Amino acid sequence: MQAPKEMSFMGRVKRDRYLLILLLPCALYYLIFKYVPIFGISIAFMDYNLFKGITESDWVGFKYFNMFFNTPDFWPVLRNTFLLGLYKLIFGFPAPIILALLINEVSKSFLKRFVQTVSYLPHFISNVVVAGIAVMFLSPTGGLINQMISAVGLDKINFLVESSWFRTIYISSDIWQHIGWGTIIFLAALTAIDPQLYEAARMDGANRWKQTLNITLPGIAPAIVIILILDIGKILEIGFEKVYLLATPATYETADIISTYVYRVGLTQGNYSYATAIDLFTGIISFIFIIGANYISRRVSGSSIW
Amino acid sequence: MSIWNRKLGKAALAALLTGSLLSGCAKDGAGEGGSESVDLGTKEVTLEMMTFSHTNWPYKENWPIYKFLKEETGVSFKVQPVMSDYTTTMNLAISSGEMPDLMMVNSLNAANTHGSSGAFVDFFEHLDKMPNYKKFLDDHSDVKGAILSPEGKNYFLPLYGLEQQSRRSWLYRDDIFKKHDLTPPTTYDELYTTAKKLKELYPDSFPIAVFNGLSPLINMSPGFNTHSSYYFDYDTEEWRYGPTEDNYKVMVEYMNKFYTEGLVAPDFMAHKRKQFNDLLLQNKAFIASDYIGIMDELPLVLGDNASEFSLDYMVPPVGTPDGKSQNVFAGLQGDGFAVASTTKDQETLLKYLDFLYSPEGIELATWGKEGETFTTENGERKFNAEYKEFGDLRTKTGIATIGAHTVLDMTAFESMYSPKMQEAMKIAPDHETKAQPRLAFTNEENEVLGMVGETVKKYHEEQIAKFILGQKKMDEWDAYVKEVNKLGVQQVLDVYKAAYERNQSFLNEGK
Repeated sequence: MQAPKEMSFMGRVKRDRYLLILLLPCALYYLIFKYVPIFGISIAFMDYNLFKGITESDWVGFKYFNMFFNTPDFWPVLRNTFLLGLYKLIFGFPAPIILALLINEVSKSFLKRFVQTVSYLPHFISNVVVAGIAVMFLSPTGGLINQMISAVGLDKINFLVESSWFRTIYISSDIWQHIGWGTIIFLAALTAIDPQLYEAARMDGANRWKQTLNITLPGIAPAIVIILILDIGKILEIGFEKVYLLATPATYETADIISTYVYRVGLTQGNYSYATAIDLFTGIISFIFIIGANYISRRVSGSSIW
Repeated sequence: MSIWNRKLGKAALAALLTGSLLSGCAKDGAGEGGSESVDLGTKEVTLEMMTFSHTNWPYKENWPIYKFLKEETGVSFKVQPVMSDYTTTMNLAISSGEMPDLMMVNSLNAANTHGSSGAFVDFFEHLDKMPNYKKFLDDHSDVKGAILSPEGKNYFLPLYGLEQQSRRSWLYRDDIFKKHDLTPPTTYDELYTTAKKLKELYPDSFPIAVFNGLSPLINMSPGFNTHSSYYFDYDTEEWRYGPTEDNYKVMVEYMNKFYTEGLVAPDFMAHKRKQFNDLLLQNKAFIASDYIGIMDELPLVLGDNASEFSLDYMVPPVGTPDGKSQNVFAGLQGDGFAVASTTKDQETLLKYLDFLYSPEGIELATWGKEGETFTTENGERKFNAEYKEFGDLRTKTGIATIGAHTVLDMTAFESMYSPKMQEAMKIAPDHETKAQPRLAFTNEENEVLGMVGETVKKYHEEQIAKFILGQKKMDEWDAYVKEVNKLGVQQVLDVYKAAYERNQSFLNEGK
């Protein structure tokens, strides 16, 4: 541990120059696209005027935050966003893990890759198309799902205008869209498990299920925890597009979330300050979530992001 | 690198423009009294324009219409066509400080907001240089009332003509009606019985085609002498809120009946245009409320199989004794044009725009050029035969696309419609509401509309949807009215009233 002390800063830069050059594009990306725009947050505290710009617009303090907290839509919208995000986490988070474990058990590599490819293709389909497919499938008149329901003798369900069905539709279509994509990281974690562990387990007479439970799952546990913490941070971050496309006036009760509210009241009215204030608010909540989740995880499981 | 180039280019352009300006001025002095003079200068000027480019007739650089305009005025444009999300692109252009000289704005509100902060030119300050525009406004006082800013200024150049194309109307399958010896309904009771009969004849069908949330109610409301939102009642000269009126309730009851008995598709609220079109095209719906243009457009979708398929104009049915057999006429298009305050050649641009409001300009923008886009036979003008229909004309020549006109003489295009459509266009104006006033709101008013207005609207839509779907019983109507009023209907009405009175006072001042 003496070497660094003797080396000057420039010396170290020189020694690591290639590594630094490799790091540069990534660092620039974060600097330009993530850190510099942070200053734009200031428009949440001003009456932002597009033409005057950030430097010339008038400051209004917490006006837009108060506006948001005082609108009658505040609680319903917050509640809907939180519940939708929570259910998405509960049902959407384990899905790719289960699929990854299943794919891992397939021994034929052709079949494995085929399943993998097919399952992650929907990730690339645009939300507009997914919503279109959902509307067609769920149609009470010719839709596949309702045909199956009536085939087994049950009453048809008018899914898209029942507010109680909205979350189910949103989350199940979300799982379908992203399950394959989500498996990638877990499959990568799976390959890192030492095959000797399995051999040893088999010697001891462990069956497939026991191996999964005692070797595979603990093996990918760090990956699971990290993804879980990140996902908890994203609970309130629900994209506007698909919700907007799947909602009808009859389902506003469950389908009106923060991002659709921001779109209606902030963006379509050109009120960027208000939209930014609301986004900043959700950002702060997400920040609290992620810090909390990380803290709990570090205490309980010992693995954490930092 | 590219920034520098652009800056250099701009400097060069500016130098060039100054030159042309000087020569333009000299020429003006010489040809006095020539208010109709189209000569804007001897030098050619290229300006930047940002405009919306429609998917069906996307912008092409070699469109002849821009060539004709250049020949006539010397002004040509470097066009930035925007295919989607115009608002974002427009806002980016404004906030970047690199505004194009001329840009389409997609609402009066946007023009006023940016105009009052100094981004756009106030045309009223330059009316002396725009005699044709001034005359146009004097001749069309309704237009003048719809383009003002809350300060009585004008940052928004209106487009006039195409709004006649986007008329709403009721349509029916005249072939099917004839086949079963049915007559088009004139009242909502007849609409109900006719739809019932059609449902018996075609059990798989949902005879009345409506789609997209609660938007069908917009065009139904005149039949019940009400309105789907806040409106100015021209009879009593007062501002009212339709969705709490008793007549509105009657309309909702009809919709509920249609829904319960399967006369409209059970998921019509989730339907988009595609599902709507499919219902009509697959003989699963026979009466529709939509834009009048689909009369000619839908058969084109079927192509050669369209032999039987036919839609015709249906006079709007009436629902209550005081209801009117009318479709909702939206009035002026939302789109208009604004001139950037930063433009280097304001003088030429304003003259160019003024030309578009002159009789010669309107003629050129509508017809193009003799021998190239139209011919005259026995004193009657005819577009070249190669343009099969209106859309085709727009795609091939750029005529009647946004950016290539301000005013169009819509009678010129009548011959391009089907005979049925021509007939309909004659009747349609007699069955239309007077357009609602288009108002300009101050920032404070916009905030009320955004906050209170949106809360009211969401609650109203949600409740009305539930009444229609039977998720709520009609005897809960009074509770709904009470609740929606509590959310602030009166507050919004006051905003409309104030804005309307302000607008009126500007108009009276101008007289």
